[in-house]
Amino acid sequence: MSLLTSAQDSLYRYVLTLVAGQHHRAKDLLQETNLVVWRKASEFRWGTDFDAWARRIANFCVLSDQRDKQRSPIAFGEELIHTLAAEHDKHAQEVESRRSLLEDCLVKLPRAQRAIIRLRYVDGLSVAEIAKNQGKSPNTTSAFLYRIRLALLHCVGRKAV
Amino acid sequence: MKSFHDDPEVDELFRAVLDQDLTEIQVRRLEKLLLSNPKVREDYLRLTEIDHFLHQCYHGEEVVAVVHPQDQKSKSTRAFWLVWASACVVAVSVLGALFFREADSNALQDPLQKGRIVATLTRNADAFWNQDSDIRALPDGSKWRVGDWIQLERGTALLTLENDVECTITGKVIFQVTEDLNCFVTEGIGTFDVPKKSTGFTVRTPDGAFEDLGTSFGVVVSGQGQSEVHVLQGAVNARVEGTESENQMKLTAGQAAKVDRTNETLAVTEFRPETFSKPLAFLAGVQRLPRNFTFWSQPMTSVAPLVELERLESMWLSKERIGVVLTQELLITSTYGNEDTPLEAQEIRLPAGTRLSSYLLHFSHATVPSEPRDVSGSIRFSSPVVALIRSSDELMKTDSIFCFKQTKRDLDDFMATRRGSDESNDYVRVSQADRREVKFELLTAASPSLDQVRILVVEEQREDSLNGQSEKSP
Repeated sequence: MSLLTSAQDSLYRYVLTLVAGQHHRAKDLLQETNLVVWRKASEFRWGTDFDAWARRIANFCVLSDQRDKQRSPIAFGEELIHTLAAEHDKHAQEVESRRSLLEDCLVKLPRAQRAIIRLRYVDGLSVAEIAKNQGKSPNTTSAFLYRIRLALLHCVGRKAV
Repeated sequence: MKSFHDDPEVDELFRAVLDQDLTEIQVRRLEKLLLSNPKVREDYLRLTEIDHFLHQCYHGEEVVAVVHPQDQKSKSTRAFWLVWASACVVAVSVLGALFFREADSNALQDPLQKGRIVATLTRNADAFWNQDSDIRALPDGSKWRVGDWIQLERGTALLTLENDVECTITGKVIFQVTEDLNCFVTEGIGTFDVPKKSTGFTVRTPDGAFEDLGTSFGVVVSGQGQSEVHVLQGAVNARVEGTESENQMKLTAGQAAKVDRTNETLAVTEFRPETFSKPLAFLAGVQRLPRNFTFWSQPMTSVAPLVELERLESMWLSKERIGVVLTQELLITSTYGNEDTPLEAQEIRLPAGTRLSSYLLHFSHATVPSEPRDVSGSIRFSSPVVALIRSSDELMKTDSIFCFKQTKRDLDDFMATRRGSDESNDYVRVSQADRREVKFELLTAASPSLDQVRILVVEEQREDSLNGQSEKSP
């Protein structure tokens, strides 16, 4: 179980990329993945790569969910899921380092930008709700949020070099 | 920095992804771009990673969520989790501090508390919760958010979910309400009363999924994660978790099924409503029952304990007819102390229109020979007790008023099972302070003791009718 726990973060990130960044679906699928991992725990061979084994199960859960079109109309096809799954590992290196860099970058954000990030990610408001809160249009707010994310991405990229 | 990618369409699609606002048409377009362009794929992966990092404040709690109760029972593992959870809290706090170093005083809110509220503690009886690694009582009205682990350690509690599903849990229970307002139960006993508008509500367990089809039902999950469902009313669609539809089973009232994890199948099992005695009693206005008592939520089909009750414990409390309305004012005089030397008397006036509920308290089983034994305990109701009816004559006279109309009275057995004598030191009495507790101590069977008592309780919505009670000296 401790293996599963330590794998949660990477599993979630993995699932998130396969479901077009939809957090609510990613959470559900992570939960399903956890259940399957838990049920099939006896089939895991000690000494082999647990994360890879759990990702295969997650992949299966995503594909299974994807096949149910009625349940998840916003879903990638199987070919893209396989492609993204194969490329995920390349991007999984030095995750902790990037996370740490992001923390540094967050501090450097102007106060107004940190405030809007807080509304989105800590308070969990939708773009429309933030727009209402700020007295701006949803499109303007969305664009502003996107620019902040890009700023953070570039900041992390620069520091990582 | 207005653009990330050379193609503005990619930026627009990425924005839609991050805003959780992707349409079906957009997802198809994005899919095509991702498949055809490795650079778009790389950018997509980098951006979703940033999005994930930013979300982690909230997501941290779900990592804790995978703890299986079996593991929690291990002391060493529990210690590990405490350390781990503490580390998470520290990490989240550090991230939060970094976020809001210069922000105002209310900026440092606990990110773990940020999901939407999905469950409210409506009422409880002696409930103690595992809250933030501390076992404590919580006031009615306490709330839980999506993904919170709701951990009852002991007692009984009624929670109302956001979709108006009423969930009554008892003993040690661990569960959570998920984003889609379904429940995931990892251990414990609970009943779920589902309003029509929430048909389709599903309780998932480590090995099963039980979907409401307009009903109330009970779920039991053992410490090993094995689950059973018992349908109390209506119907439930049961299936083995993670399997295809052929492993489904539709169950109706009075049926039960358990999951066979080895073969990943469902098997019919004995319907045992008494498993849910405490939740059902709680819902019926009984806050606390003695440990060895069974609550029978359906009205008796016989006032004497015949065949249908033989499998039950010898001591039980049964709800009788409800909603008996007084057609005229009723004056009740209660005497405390004892009959020879009364210490105090209470005079209670119940106005016409007061609604009464009736319960039958039973201490022995006439058809099963047993040695006399001492029993003692107390039953606590959620509203005041109006009267105890405890002699054979009085019981018989009031049967016609309070018994369910289909209840039979088997006269051959009647006197044998309705001894009403209390010659010995037996007592059954109502607590003086708030009149919500019935205390008893007596010798059952084989002795001339009471074995059935009728308890009349003011229905909760009318309990204020007792407010006008007056006391007088003997």
